[in-house]
Amino acid sequence: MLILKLILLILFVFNFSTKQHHSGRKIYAVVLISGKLVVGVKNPISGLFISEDAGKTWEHRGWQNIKANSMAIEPDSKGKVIYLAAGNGVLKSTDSGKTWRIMTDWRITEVLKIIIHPEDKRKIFIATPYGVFKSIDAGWNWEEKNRGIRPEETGTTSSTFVSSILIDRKNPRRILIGTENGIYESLNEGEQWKELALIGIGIRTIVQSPHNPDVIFAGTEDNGIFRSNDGGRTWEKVNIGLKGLTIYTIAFDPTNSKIIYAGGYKTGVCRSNDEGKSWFCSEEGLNGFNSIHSIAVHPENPNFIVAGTIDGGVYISRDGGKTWKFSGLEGTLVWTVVIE
Amino acid sequence: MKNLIPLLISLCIIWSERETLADDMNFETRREILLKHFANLNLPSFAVCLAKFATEHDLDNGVKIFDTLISNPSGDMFFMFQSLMTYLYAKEKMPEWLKQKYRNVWKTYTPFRGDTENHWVMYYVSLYLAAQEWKNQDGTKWFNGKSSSENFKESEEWINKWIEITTTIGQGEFDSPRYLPFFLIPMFMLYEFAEDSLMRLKAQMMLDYLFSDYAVEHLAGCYCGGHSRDYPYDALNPRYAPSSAFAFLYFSDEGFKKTDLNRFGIAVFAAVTSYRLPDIIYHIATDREVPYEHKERKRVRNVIRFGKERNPPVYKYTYVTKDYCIGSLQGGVLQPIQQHSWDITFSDSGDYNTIFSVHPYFSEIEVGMFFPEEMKILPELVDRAHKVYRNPNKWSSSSPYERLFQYKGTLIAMYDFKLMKPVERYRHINIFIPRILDHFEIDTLGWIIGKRGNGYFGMRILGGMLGLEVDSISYSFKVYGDRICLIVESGGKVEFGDFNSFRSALKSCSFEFDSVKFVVRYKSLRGFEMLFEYPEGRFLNGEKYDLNWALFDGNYLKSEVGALIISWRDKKRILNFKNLKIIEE
Repeated sequence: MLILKLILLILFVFNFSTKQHHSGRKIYAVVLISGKLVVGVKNPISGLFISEDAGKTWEHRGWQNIKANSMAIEPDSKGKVIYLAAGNGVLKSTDSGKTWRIMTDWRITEVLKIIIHPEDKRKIFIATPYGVFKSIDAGWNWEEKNRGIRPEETGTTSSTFVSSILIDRKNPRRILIGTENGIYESLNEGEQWKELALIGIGIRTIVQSPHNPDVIFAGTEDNGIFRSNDGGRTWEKVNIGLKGLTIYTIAFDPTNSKIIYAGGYKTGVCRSNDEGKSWFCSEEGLNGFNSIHSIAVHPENPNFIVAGTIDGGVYISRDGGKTWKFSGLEGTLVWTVVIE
Repeated sequence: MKNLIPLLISLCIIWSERETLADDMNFETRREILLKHFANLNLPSFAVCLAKFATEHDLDNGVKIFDTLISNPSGDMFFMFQSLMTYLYAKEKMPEWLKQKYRNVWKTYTPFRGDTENHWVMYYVSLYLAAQEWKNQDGTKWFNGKSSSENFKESEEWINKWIEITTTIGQGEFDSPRYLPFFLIPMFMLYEFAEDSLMRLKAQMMLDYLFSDYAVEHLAGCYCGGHSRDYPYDALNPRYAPSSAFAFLYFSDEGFKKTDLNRFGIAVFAAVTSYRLPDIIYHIATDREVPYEHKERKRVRNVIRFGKERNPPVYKYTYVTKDYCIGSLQGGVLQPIQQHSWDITFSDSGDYNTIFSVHPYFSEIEVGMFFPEEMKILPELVDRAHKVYRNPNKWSSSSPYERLFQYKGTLIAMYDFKLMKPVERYRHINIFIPRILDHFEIDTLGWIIGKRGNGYFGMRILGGMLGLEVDSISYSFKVYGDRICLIVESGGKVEFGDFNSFRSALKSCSFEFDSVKFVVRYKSLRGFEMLFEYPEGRFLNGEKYDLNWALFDGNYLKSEVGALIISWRDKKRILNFKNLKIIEE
């Protein structure tokens, strides 16, 4: 009887500690490619994977090979409504990933990012190599929104290569896009774009601080990280301590405005304790997979961090990024990680 | 003796397999030989399966093979078109359970749409015909969650868009010896199975269009000249490229052997259809009595980064004779990874009947122009699929530092590696010259001269240091330098008489080469003068030579707005895409 009580106690403590770490939140990993993708042959499975046990095990959901890039979960849907940005277009599931429908047609391909408007979940924006597309009916219909960034207007096809979108929390009609030709701004939800900053530089990601909407960071190709304190009007390079200057992902500690994480090509996971002024990059436990494409920080337990690596699958840190442990999806290129 | 019998039988079989196929066969005979050959095989292949159904030979095995192939689908759009073609052709001969099983594949198998033009043609044509086959079904019955009518509408729209783009600004994956079949077969499928008569007509016109495009640059089973996409082994041995299967079936059987049939499986999908090549296109493919020049305009595949425009024009020039053909693109990055900028193809039907050069360039910028993944890892990702992208010895590549200027049988290729950025590699070019030559020499003036059958060539290398590696198939030259210029002359018996006359005539050619300004002035074998100022200054006999011509511009093919005029002697066939009419005169 005593033994049984002890076992129950252990199980309770274990369960409690696990819940403390991830509070039952699912972790999503969007795998672009598993090793290699040769169109027309049998490839290892890629696409959307979900872990419901803090990264111990992973389960594949939906399509097997569609060059999935990123995802968005409809707020308040409890993970039921998921959008996947992929080579085949935008896919939508309304049953937590069991069944899917392609929401776009031949006009839209190679979708890189997808974002749901914070004030109206029916408004959705996608970033593609052919510009921005917008839906106002939860993905059923799409319109191209490229006025101001078309190659014939800017002189370069790089301006329609849009790899990130940011809806300004302070003014949700204001949208910033990161393109291969710098950052463009729209003040009317994408109806018209104009140059904002960093023109000529390839932008890989733009993120807004959850602590101060005026603070925006941009990760770039070959130019490291830029920080703006005035909503994107002026920018300064903040590269002290970075191990590489191509930055794919930047994530914030939700509870401490000073702590920021970044990762990129051969950078390891970099942490700043001073609001991005300087960085310390660590590879401990990453088994050499030091190219990081996506980082997610747990909303309630900021020491629990998930990193999507290029070729190494998912790694998890439980100590605020000091050390990392392999979680799963070995050999994959994990393009996006999301904690529900 | 007892042991010798099987050996002798084997030798007889091998000998008969090596036999050249009779050279007086007509299309129907070749078609029959091809179908019978595949019907008699027992391989897990849709071509074998389809041939069995087409000849009604070994139907039980045909059913088994189809069942095996659809039980564990893979191959995305390649699976879609092959399985659907087989199903649509043979469904009346298939048991009900197999038909139901196949229908379910379109619900459970989730194919990738792909990222190239040929992928999309296969994907959307297959989807169009599948949605037509299984009408009025809701999204739960389809892999993509869309209903039959939604899938049909989307596919129809895209097919129409592709036809419009191809016939107005040109094909992006143009003239590819590897991928031509994957444009042809979907058109065969539409021609054979589309219920909409207008769609069938469009498919017929596109088949005529694609076959004309091939025929005019066809020689001895090869697709000669510049190509958008060419795999290294196809570039080295063009008679072995998949397009040759269609040369065999529709143009001519010259020189093909029985063993070649094994690699012509893709043509089975054409052979079972009712499409017949118009005589006029057959004549264009085979009449080589009079040498001719032919110009084409195509388009660059979608440039998603670092371009001034989405689809810049590609200018293609080809000179075709009975003995050889020489053709080129203008140079620069027109396609990633597999561009084949120029070649000479000899009409000799043996192996390795070609000569060309390539700058084995690679960069993250080049692949970043066309692919959306992160640029830093793109070269590595490409190599995982294509193996040789970063290999300095590769035989297919585009290069931003290559420019070409061709007029008739003379071609000048210039490579300016001084413009390369420090991180970029490599600073040399590879030149392929086959070992199978009747004559090969480097003369005292520096001309590399050779003869293959009745085709002759001379090559002069200006600038750079020359290295030569000889292996079993080639004389492989490597030229290292900052600024390299190749002058290539081609000729044949019809134009120059015997080989010695050609050799002597080469000595009369003169040039002035300025490596500082990177300009070459060349007085050619045929007497005209070419001045080439790298990168874009082309002058012929003192006149500016503009690259500015229509989609097709030659004696056999001419394009006007929305129409292709196919001519041979006094015959004409006009494909009018504006009015959707085929007019014969």
